[in-house]
Amino acid sequence: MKHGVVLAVTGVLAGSLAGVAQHAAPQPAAPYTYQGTVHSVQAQTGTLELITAVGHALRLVQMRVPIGLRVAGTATGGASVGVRGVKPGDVVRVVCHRAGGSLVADKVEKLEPTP
Amino acid sequence: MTRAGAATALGLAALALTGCKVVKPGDPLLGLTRAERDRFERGRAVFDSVFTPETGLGPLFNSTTCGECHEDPKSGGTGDEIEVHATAFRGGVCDPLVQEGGPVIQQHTTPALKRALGIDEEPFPPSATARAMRTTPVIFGRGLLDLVPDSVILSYADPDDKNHDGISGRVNRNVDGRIGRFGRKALVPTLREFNDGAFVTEQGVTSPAVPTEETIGGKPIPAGVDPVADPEINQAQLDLTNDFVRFLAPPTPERLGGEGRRGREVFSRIGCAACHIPTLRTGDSPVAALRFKDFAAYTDLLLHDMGPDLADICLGLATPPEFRTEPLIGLRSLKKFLHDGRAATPEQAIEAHGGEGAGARDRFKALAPAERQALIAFLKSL
Repeated sequence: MKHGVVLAVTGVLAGSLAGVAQHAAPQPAAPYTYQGTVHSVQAQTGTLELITAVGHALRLVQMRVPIGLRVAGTATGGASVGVRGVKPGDVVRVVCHRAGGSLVADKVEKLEPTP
Repeated sequence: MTRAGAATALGLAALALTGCKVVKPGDPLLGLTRAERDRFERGRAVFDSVFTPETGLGPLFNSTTCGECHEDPKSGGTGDEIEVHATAFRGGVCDPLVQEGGPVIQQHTTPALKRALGIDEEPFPPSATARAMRTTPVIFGRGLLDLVPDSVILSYADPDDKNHDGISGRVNRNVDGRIGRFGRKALVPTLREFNDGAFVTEQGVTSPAVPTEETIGGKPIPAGVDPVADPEINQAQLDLTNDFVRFLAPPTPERLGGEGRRGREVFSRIGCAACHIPTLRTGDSPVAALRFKDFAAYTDLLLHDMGPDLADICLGLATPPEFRTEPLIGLRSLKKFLHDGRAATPEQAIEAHGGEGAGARDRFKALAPAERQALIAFLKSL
């Protein structure tokens, strides 16, 4: 079974539902959690591409960020609206769901390095 | 006492403790339970199993088995294969070129992929700003390195060189922000992730941890060239392989004569030990053989600027000239030195150090011949 880059759902999947994300069985309502580095942001289409990794196996995960979704920042406590709140190189945690074959973000949180 | 001095003292104690029983390259850790040792042996069988296209190999790959590269002198050792990595470094930002098949550029294809696309290797990414050649490191003692607490690594970091010693190690971070320690650029936080990722990047074998194949220059694999259903190995095989690797012991250093003992002193005196920290201590672990162990690591797991002559790719936060301090565990098994194998001897490797390593290099070059020889004798005992 082969998948295109856009639909690759490998990578570091935080949370107990990682196993769900890694199988092709349809789970339309289940949330997926990704933590990775922002690769690209397309503000006009509200599209976000993340780089995730398992070792040196890096993958791109593409998702849509709905207009009006607030991007939380853990360090400042502040929030901005939509994909404009993040830029390439930012590390983010995104909770999303699958809709119509695509990933749609429900929550985007910008992370600061820890410790 | 300096950090290197304290670590050296600990190192001597650790070496003395391990002097009771000689551990050879490829041996398991001392003190494993019977069950752990059984998993080590079963894991070695997976590590050495040869994959074919019919059992999941490829369609892109660097090797047919873990043991094809990590073979000398035993499974877990080094090998003569050289692989290729590529990334782009622009405006201070590193792009691992995932969209073009990076950062690992596989050097072989299965017959089916060759028939479909007419290629013998993955195309080199057109946007790459650098190509890196990578030798196969020995992986002895990696289970111990895996358990060194992040706090210890951070304690050695001095990114702004506040102590003005010319050495300013800093941590790399994975794409998700965690501190990295494995790989020549220290991108990978844990040994398990490194092993899990290696199955697909090196052999094209998918697993529950990475259930999708590498792309071919960023493009999906043509239909029909990889008929084996994903994942191509199961979680049990992955777990056994991981146990084999993490239970591989660091070989006992060879007994030092007078010359070697002088060399060990020179190693600290000229500043090698400032980055190649002789001894590290693991944290807690369910495995008693790995728990709270002092071991001869000879690394700080930090990134250091090694100068423009050694520079190649970026990766994560690591800039082209930054490399993680190579652990010197099992150095006597190596036949090529440095990340790309350009050095044929330890002397050449030391003389190629630049950047933060330039001070130690210059002090090495200034040594009397007998002291240089002593230092090399010490290194070849590791």
